[in-house]
Amino acid sequence: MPEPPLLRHKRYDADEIALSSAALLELLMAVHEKGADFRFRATGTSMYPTIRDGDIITVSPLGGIKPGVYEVVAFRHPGNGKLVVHRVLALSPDSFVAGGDNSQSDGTIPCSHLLGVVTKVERNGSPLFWPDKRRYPFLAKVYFQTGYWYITVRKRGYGMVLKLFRKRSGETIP
Amino acid sequence: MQELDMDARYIPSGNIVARVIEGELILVPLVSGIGDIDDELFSVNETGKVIWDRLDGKASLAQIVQLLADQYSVSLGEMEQDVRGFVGELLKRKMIVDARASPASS
Repeated sequence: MPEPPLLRHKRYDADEIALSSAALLELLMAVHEKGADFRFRATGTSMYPTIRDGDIITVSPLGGIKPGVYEVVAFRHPGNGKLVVHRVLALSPDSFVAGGDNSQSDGTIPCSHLLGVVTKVERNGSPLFWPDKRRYPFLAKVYFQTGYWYITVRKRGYGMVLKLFRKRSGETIP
Repeated sequence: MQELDMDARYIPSGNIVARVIEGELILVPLVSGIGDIDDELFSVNETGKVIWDRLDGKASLAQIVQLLADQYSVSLGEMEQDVRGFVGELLKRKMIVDARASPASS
């Protein structure tokens, strides 16, 4: 044999185990097949400020319950096949519109691409308030709707302040 | 080193997700219904994968040692040491179970 058998643990050999998005997607599907939740580290800023780069998120299988509008879901992007965690912006019987809180809409996604729903977010070792729709449907609805509108208003507010600042400083506004 | 019964046959535990991803065997233990790849993710090298593939409950550890020693032209003693070390590690982490004790075994 070329080398002795070795079992490497990510915590101690982190540099040696790097998972691609495709690998992450495959593992998520395999874990969900067993009915278990999938916990992993989020990367990117498309869901900022709701989910930040480096937050630990838990994606649970749908379990026959369709996610609601403004809930945060995991799905396989129909364009690039990558695992994406974004918010449901609109829902129809067989498709949904998704988008990041800090990015543009992903367009219409077939419901068959849905993988699960985010049920827990941890930041700096502590869980954030994140009601699980399966346990607290009403609370989850209010929380996600309010959160979405807060982010939208904040983004628009920043945009207006920026425009005003540019106008006052004589910059041309595109 | 942990004492192992070389006549025992082992199979992967029902609480383990094993996938070959991009040529590498990845193991994710399911702890309390969670597959936690941030804290509990393992990868197995090529040699370990060869041993893992034979942990299907059909062959005993002694038979696996014999088979692999023949296949790779390695001495029985060296191969047994490698298999004992690797299987001991898997047992310690409850990634495999004795096929005789498993309800799924026939």
